[in-house]
Amino acid sequence: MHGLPIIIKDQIETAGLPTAYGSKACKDYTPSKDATLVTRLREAGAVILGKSTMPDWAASWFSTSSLSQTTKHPIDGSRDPGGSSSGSGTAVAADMALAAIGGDTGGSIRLPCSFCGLVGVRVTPGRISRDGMSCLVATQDTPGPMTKTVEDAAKILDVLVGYDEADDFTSINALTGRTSAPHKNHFQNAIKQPSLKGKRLGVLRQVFGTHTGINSILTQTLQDLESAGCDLIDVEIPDLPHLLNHTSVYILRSKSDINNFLASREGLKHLTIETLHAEGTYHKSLDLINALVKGPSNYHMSPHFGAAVESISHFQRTVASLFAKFNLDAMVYPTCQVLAPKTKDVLEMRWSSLDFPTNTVIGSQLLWTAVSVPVGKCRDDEWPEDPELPVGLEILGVPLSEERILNLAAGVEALVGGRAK
Amino acid sequence: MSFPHYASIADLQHAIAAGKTTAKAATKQYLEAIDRQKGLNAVTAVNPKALEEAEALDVRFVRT
Repeated sequence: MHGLPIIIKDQIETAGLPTAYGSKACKDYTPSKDATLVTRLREAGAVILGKSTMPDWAASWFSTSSLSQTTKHPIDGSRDPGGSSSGSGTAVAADMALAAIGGDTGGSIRLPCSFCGLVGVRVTPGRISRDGMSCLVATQDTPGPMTKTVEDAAKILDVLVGYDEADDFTSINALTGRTSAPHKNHFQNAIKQPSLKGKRLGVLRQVFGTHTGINSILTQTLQDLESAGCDLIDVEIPDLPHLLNHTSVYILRSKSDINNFLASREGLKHLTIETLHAEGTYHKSLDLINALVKGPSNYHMSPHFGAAVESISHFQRTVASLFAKFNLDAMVYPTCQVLAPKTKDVLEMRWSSLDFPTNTVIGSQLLWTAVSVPVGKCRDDEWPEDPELPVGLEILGVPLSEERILNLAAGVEALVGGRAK
Repeated sequence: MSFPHYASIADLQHAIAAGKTTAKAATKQYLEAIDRQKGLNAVTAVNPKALEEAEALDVRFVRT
């Protein structure tokens, strides 16, 4: 990717460039070492233009940061681009960079991509090294590409995916079953001939929400998919709200995960998330930080830990059963049930981090892989005079099925054509 | 000052291969775009060595 001008979410360390993880407590911190993914990008010929905004410790669906306050949506300045890879979303959509790297824990790549009209990939955690990235939920965190096209995302995956001794979660790459090193254009080759004919897609109607514009775009997209030869099967995940509630582990482990990260850095080990919280050193709208500091100091000792682990397994089996029963290639649904929110609503805390209607948590809490691809633009029901805003389609796949869901995303991209621009 | 308008990585790479631009020139355009759009508040830090690094890539590219 010779000469690719790229922006890196400030959650990811860059040698010699200030890295603050969205927190004003770290505004003077400069790492001495690049994150593994940054090294790989540089070696592949990318040019690191700079770092992009994020909320404190990635703990939000929006841009609200004690360091940078709010970021503007690239199309409608009265709105938020979404988070937590906020600046990355705005930067690529506003042509400040040709691509960006974001970080996704509960949806932080896919959500800003959906809101800003970009392609965003959440890989199965561990396919890309998390070395040099601040931690929010160690089992769910993953960096990934935020790009204008599916092909560009594939190019970035070809550079970033692979084993890294510095992050043993990357051992998951051995579970693909391949024993030879992947071709250097492995993901690009996987999307070269996008094929929709005969593909079986589970349509998760229960999470479509009630937004008129979004549903209109989804209806059109699904019609087009059917015309292109896809088999669409309506599916339902029983007790989904209950499953999502019981597989959410932020309160259980984020405090430990953030603190372990801070303790691992010479220049940050004087900090803990509890002291930052006690001092009020975090954006006041971040209800998740307020909640996670109340979690156990050591989640292994918590009586809730075993139940959570079991719930996650149960959730995985429940969704996998639908894939098995209906022979699904993927499940599809809107990435989010609403469009990019008004900054005013965000600052007034209209939603909490637990009730914001993003569908990205499904893939995150399953520990699976998902891509958000832009499928059109529409007006906001509540603000019909505002400019039209992008809508993303999320394509969810079983673990390690990135090649399959990217191929589908490439097919959707070609099908939708100019509508998404 | 000009607006970067590349639609994809391939778009940029074709332009570089065809001699229409260089990594350095493209980087300069994007840095200008960042500066011009400061009001969007998307960038926390700009790499002061970006142009220098792009230029080194151009030299490497010519050699290979």
